[in-house]
Amino acid sequence: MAGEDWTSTLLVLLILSSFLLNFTDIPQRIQLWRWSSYIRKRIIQLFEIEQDARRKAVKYLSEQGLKDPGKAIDDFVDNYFLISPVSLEPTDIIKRLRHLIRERNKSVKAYVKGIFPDAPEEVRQNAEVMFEIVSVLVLINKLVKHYFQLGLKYSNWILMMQLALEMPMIVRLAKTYDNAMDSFASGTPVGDGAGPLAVRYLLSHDVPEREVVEETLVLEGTVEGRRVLAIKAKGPGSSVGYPGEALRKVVEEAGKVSAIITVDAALKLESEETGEVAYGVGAAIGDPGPEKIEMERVAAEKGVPLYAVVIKMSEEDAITTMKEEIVKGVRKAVEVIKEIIRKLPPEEPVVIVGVGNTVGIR
Amino acid sequence: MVQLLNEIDTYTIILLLMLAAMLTLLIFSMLPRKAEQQEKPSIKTLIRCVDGHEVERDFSKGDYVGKKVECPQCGKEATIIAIYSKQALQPRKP
Ligand SMILES: [Zn+2]
Repeated sequence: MAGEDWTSTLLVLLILSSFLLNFTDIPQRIQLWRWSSYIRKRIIQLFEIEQDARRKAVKYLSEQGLKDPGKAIDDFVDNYFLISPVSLEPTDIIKRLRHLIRERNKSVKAYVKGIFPDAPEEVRQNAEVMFEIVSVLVLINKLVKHYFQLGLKYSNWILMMQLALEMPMIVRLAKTYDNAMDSFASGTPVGDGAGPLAVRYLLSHDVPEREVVEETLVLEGTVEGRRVLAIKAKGPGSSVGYPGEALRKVVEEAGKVSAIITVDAALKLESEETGEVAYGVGAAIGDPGPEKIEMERVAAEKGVPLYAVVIKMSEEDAITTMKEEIVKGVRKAVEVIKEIIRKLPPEEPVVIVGVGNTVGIR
Repeated sequence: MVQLLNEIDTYTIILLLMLAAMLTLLIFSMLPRKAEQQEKPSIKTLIRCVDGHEVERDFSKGDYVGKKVECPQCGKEATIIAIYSKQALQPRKP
């Protein structure tokens, strides 16, 4: 009968396909092919994002009067890397790292100054960031292509699969950097500016200020009846200043302080809301090490409490135009800081450090 | 007609159904995912007048926090106290 015919055919098909699935590499080959075509599409997308960022940089640079912005970008990209210091022997590693970071910053500044000798400081600072963003995008593209080509070369389907699964996050990151270009080109504050903005809300724009170390200001005022010395990077160009070094100078000049309060943007967890405020103890700063350790050392040497107030946000929020929720968060953070100040002895000054990029905030 | 129905037995039906199910799955997995809908946020500048009131206006190039401007309402001295992006679309709650 026809029924029995079908049963045997099905059985044979089942055995054959189970053999193919279990004892050959065919499924993996198919997967490899599928993942690679998926990645190829994403690579094109990444390339478009890079081109878009480049266009934005070229537009900004030529608006500022640069004749050959394309060449200026190409000369910057791939160069100005930093090799981390030897950590096998950690003696004076912070000193070495700080030295390397400063030297790198100096050479980047010298490069930008070379192509923009007469531009105002904030234009140069913003151009610096745009160069850095294009560099990062080029690097992301190169890394993705590197793993993609390795995967193809050795038919490494695990590598290919890992890369394919990471791709949405990578593309998202690249888009974020591309969006950040707009913020720096128009000079609007970014989420990371929450710290400097908190300092301005705590004091105001009319208090006396001076540049205590390079690109870093100290503001003086009174909050809740206490003398307040507040540190922030010098705006409105893109800069983070050197808050650690500035803190040491300010504390040493003041002699005795009642507390050091650091304010910074902090990465939120996925389940947290942008603009949430939390406080604790320690140095709230996300630098590679030198500035943070300086803060901790100053506080420990002087035996002064070191408080941290953070405004939470995602990585994307931190480098793109400040969201309204973050401004609200900053206002909340200022209330938290005032609350801390009220509990301190009124006779000694308090030092506040507003950590973060001050682009768009004077 | 009866003849034809007799010839189509259970196995054929099962096979056809499986094929149809696989095809639909394949088609669904091939369909492009809905692109993330994101409206471009508008950037606003918040100004505080010496009189104490706050005015929000669109961001214009050259604005920065701490810049002295004229109050758009009464023309008195005012300061920009915030620049931020306002999302038109509310983010989805989990
Ligand atoms: Zn007014």
